[in-house]
Amino acid sequence: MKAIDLLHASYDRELTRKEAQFLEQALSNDPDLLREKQQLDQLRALLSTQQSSLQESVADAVIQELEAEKVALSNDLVRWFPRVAAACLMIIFAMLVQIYVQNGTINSDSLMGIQELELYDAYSLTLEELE
Amino acid sequence: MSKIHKEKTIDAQSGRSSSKEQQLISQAKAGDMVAFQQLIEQQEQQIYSTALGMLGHEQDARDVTQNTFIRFYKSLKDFRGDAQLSTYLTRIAINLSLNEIRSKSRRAGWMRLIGKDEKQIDLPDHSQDPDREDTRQMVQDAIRQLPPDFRSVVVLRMIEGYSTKETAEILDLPMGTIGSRLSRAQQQLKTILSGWLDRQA
Repeated sequence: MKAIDLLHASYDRELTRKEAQFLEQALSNDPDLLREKQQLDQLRALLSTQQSSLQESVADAVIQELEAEKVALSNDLVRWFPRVAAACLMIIFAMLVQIYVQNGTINSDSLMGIQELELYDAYSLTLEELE
Repeated sequence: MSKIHKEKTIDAQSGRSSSKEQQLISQAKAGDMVAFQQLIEQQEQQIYSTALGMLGHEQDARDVTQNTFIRFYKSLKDFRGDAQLSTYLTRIAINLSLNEIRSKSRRAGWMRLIGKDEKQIDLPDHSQDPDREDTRQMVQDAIRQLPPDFRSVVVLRMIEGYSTKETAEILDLPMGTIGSRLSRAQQQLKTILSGWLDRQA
């Protein structure tokens, strides 16, 4: 592994003894590598102090938003239920009108779609077949 | 080489949330809004800090923080506790932040297309200004010049102090990718902040 890669890796994990020795030697022999390390140390130190603090808790706002969503959903259901119910009734009414127009009457047979039968249709077997 | 350490409420053996936190989660799942509020208060600082690091704008960060907890509440019944709560919430916050960054970028592109430029998202590089005093603003400006994928790694690893493994878990990426992105991000930041670094030397 190159010294520069080892330098970067050293910030993420513990180096083995061999790796640490190699890196230490490389830092003492290479001024550019040493400068790279110093800059990385400064950069990391700078960034590690950049955590921000929240001035005002968001808890109340979150709870209010969740409560408002619950109320809105409930209102939507209350608002839309009569409309859906009315639409269903209209569809049923339209179907009944169609059945009346087709059959001239609205009774259980016409609702179930049973047509009038001829007498011979009612028999499934003739006497000869029975004998 | 010193490592960044972060104190979290974790069970040392399992890496899960503490028993107190698990109790609050159970209560919140049962509909206890007081318990859910306590969970928010325990986690909001960290989530806000992460969002602000990603977005560089306080109100946007605040909005992302709120939306993170709202989204968490809606998926509460599916939260099994396999991951730490902080990890789970941070993942949501990072995703929401990335969505916001993409959304702003699209809006800026559209505004440029119709000839109405918004305020530039990419702020001028002030790192060469030796008189610059506002270090925090300087760092935020520098981070905002990074691509979103690099930004998330820098925020989690270098600002919030998550380990490489935790960062990989949050971003759902291999550890090698985290290391690679961090290395490249550091090089970019060194270039952006070269003036400040030279002054330190």
